[in-house]
Amino acid sequence: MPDPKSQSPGYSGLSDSELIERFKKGEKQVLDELLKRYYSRVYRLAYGILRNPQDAEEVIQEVFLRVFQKLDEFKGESSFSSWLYRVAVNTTYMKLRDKKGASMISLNEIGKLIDEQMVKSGSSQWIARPDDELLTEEALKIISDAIEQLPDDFKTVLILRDVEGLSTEEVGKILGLTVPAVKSRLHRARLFLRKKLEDFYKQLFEGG
Amino acid sequence: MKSLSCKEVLAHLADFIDGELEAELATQINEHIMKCPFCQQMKKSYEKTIDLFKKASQFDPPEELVEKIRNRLFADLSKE
Repeated sequence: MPDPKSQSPGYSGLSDSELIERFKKGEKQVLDELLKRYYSRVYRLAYGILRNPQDAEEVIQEVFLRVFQKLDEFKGESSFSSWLYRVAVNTTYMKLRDKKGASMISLNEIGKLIDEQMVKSGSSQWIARPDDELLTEEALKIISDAIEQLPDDFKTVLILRDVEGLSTEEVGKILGLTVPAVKSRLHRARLFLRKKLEDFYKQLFEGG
Repeated sequence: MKSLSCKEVLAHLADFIDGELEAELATQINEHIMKCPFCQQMKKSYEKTIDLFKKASQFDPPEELVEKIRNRLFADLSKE
């Protein structure tokens, strides 16, 4: 096989499906283009769920090996990216199962926190300060800690939807969920994180 | 046009922010939010939470990783 780095046949203008067609005809170099397109995204997803660089590295290698070894059998019933994300989610979950800790909180607990938030927030009257720089290291630290407490499938929905920018329908297909189920998890996960940032927002909006 | 309660606005807030509401309902929600400080802050903090989540999720793979995957991949496929 030729060194993938030694060629540059201009694959960047081709769609995923066109690349796969070429692969099936024997042009193995197209894998390099697919890898280039997706490895950062798969890494972000795996790292976002696992929160550990070594585990994410292992997952990403496994995902691409698995997908590329089966590329000949890919029939295009879903898009390549959906298929890749599905394999990535499953591989990441398998890794999690191997390492499962006790730090996760239950879905019921999330629901309870959100209900409490709604009651408390009802009396709050924040006044915006236009000069505030909303992004701070403190808020990022709070949210990073909060993300670790989210159940894995909530994290996955948030990453696919809010970080990777996939549509609700696409996320549903990847995870085998209905659109209302995706929306519900997304909303609850965002509310959970918002709840964790409540003190930060109060300080921000009230200037306290 | 019927005016919405805060509870109704909050129930649709996610779809409103994600641009997944039909135009008429979106307009009603927008009008409510313009007049209601509580819902305004809810919307603002909800959007900011999404923004912070995005920023907290930008993990770049180590530079050498793509090379590692590429080498392993092409070595594996060469065996076939």
